[in-house]
Amino acid sequence: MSERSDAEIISAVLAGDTEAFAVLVRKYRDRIYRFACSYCGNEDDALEIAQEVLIAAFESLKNFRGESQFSTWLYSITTNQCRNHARRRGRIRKVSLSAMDEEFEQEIQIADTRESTEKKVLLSEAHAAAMEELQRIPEDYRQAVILRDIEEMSYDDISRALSISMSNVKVRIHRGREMLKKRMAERGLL
Amino acid sequence: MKKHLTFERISAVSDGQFTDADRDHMTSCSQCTSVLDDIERVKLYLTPAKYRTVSDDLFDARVMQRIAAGRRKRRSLWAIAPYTAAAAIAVMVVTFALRNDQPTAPATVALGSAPDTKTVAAANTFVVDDVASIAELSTSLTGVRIITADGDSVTAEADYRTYQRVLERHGLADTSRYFRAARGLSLASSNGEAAHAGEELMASRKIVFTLRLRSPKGE
Repeated sequence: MSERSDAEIISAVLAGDTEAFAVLVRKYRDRIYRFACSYCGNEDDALEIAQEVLIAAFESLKNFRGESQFSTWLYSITTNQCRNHARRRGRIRKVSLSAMDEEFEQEIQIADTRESTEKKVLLSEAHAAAMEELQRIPEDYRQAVILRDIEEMSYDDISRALSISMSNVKVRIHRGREMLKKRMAERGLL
Repeated sequence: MKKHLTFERISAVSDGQFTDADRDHMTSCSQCTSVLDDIERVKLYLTPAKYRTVSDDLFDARVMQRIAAGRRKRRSLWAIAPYTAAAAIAVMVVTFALRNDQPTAPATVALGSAPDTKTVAAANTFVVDDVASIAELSTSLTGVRIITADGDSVTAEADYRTYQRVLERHGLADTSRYFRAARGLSLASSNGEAAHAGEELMASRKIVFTLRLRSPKGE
């Protein structure tokens, strides 16, 4: 049986088949969670945000006009939820370093088993530091950098997700990267 | 010597957006190449974040459960909409505006019309000596209007039971007191005495009960 498209699922949900939304939850939960995790640096908060995003998406599904991809629309909800969450919780949260280190260790092992332990530790620290510094740059830049460098979205999709012009997208990405690079250099990691 | 590329240009190069001139420059300029390397290294450091996944096995179930619960809640909210709409916004001082059918009386809230909260001041009270009893007031009640501190208002069609429930919801169960208070003050002047009583009784809320009173002659 062929997989239903997002548009078909959305039509089914809007027609009253609430359970069909579970397919979209399964399909997009990781992306939303990943963005939220990168944005706020805390796994528990990210899970909470991901839930809120999906519920908000369900509730405003009738407003999705199909002018962009469903994922792009979801990212726009996610960025708003992250911003609201940050306001509620206070500006900057500490990164859950231990958990991130652990996962990064695993990633590195998968990526290259020949890496020396020393290098793994260095990379692990660098990743944790990068995630920490990511949260210290202005949120407009942070969102753009996450969408581009972690979510690997095109400039065009980022423009739609953040409702800003293409030139603004570029400015935010480049400035965000410049800030990150500077901060990483200050920590002696470049 | 050729001018170095700006950070923005080099960052764009890292995204694969470059001109022939950019590429030529990058192949021969160690300084710009070094900046590009740093950008790539920062990207590399962010890479593990790309592989994060939801580790909670019950995540999907939780979302769907909350969606279902939300739908149930909304359905039940619609069922009590007249009460919840009123209860949600009640904030400021209480006053009663009683209206008789005399065309010369100052205008009070007309049911169903766009409310202008600013015109309903504490002093806008009316002579109600043609209302003989609480029972009569209760049968003539047709609407409740609740005004927030911001001046927003909601007008809800309401019968006597509805407004009683609104008051109960706010811990103001003895609703007849307000009519008694109003009658006690007789609202004979528009000097705000009724509003003053309301403030004492209901602290910081302002609720206007819109009444359509029967004509004394039954017209």
